[in-house]
Amino acid sequence: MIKSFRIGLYCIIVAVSLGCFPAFAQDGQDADLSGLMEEYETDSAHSKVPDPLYRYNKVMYHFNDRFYYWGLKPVASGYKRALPGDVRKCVRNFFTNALFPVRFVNCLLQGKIKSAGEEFGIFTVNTTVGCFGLGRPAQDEFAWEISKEDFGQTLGSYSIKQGFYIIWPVLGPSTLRDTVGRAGDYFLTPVNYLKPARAVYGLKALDTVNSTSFRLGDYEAVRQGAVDPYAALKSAYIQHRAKRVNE
Amino acid sequence: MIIMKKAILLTAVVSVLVITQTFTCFGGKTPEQALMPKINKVIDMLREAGPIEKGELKHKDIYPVVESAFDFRILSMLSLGTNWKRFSGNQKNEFTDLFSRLVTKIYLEKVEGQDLQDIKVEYDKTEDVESGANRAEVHTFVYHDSTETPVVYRMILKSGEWKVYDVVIEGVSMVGNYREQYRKKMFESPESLINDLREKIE
Repeated sequence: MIKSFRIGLYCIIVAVSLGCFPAFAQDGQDADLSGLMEEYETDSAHSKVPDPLYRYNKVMYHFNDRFYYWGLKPVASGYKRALPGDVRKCVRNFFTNALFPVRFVNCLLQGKIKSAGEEFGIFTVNTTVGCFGLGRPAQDEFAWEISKEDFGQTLGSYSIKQGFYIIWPVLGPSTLRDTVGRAGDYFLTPVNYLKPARAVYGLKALDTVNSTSFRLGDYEAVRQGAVDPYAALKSAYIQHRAKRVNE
Repeated sequence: MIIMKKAILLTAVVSVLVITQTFTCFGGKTPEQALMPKINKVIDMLREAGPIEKGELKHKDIYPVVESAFDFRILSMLSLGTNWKRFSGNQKNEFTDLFSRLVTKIYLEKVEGQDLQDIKVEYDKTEDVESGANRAEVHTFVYHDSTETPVVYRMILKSGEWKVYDVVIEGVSMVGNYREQYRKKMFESPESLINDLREKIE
């Protein structure tokens, strides 16, 4: 009899230790959630970026918001209606391919030799077989992947902190580190060396309108869902950049 | 003898209990098995319904599906951060209800007027999270309009069911994002935060 009870007791112990009785198991009861709370608290403390230019940034935020709703969005929507998706994809491929020097050099600066090699391969295949980068056979046929590296991420990989938050007119949210990064990448962007200057601005405008045509609705979703749109945009930018640096 | 029989019976009952519980435990759904059918169901419903008219959400029947996939109470609690403690029991319930509607509304509005025929969600991998609670991150890719977007669902096992408590799109955590927004509102009363939400939904 004692043996039977022992077996019974043993079975209960096994069941509980396996976490199979929901009432006893650590399956997300309130007690566990304090750990989860702390995790988010630590994450947000790590990704804190000061905002000493708050007043200026707030003005720029409103300026860019209007610029998007009154300028960029209607233009990009019209552009999207006017041009077939395939044409817009070709334009996007062309500009992505043209930014090869930025990605290649930053891969090397971060010691990502394999990615740099792959970038070189993608550029060679897409510029030749892909007809000056309008097509992207390297990604579609060989499944090679673009490394979205830039100088801001390179600085981040050297453990350089974000500095402070700054919103640039038209260009949007940035930080001191990413602004320095953008300036560095400027010299590696072939479009910037074109003459006359009008051609540079024209191409940059085309690039912006074209890429926005694929992202219509994203900004609106963040804006409309936010209880504090300014803070929402700042947090989204900081988190997104942190992810890119960690990759 | 009778005691002996009772003991054997008790052991048998316990064993059956253990076996069935073990079966549910290990035979239960994995996080991706719990999540992916629900995502696909929402996409199918959106596709069938056609483009959503501007300013009008016809997809009231989508709410229950989304609600069954999420644990909005945990999502609300984490989003409010330290503010959560200031809320009374009723205020917590009210906030959770309104917040769940807001979150669903944003995502439905984002697809407003868009052609969803080419939308595709691909499952990538599931990563277990080492912690006191059973948690996992389900990594997916959303393909739409020739754009690939990485979306990670953070899930928790609660009462034997896997539920989403955060969505991370291109590295941006929804909870983390709301947390930053609510951090600045720690001097506003819970009632005014609830009213803000109500206004956003209406």
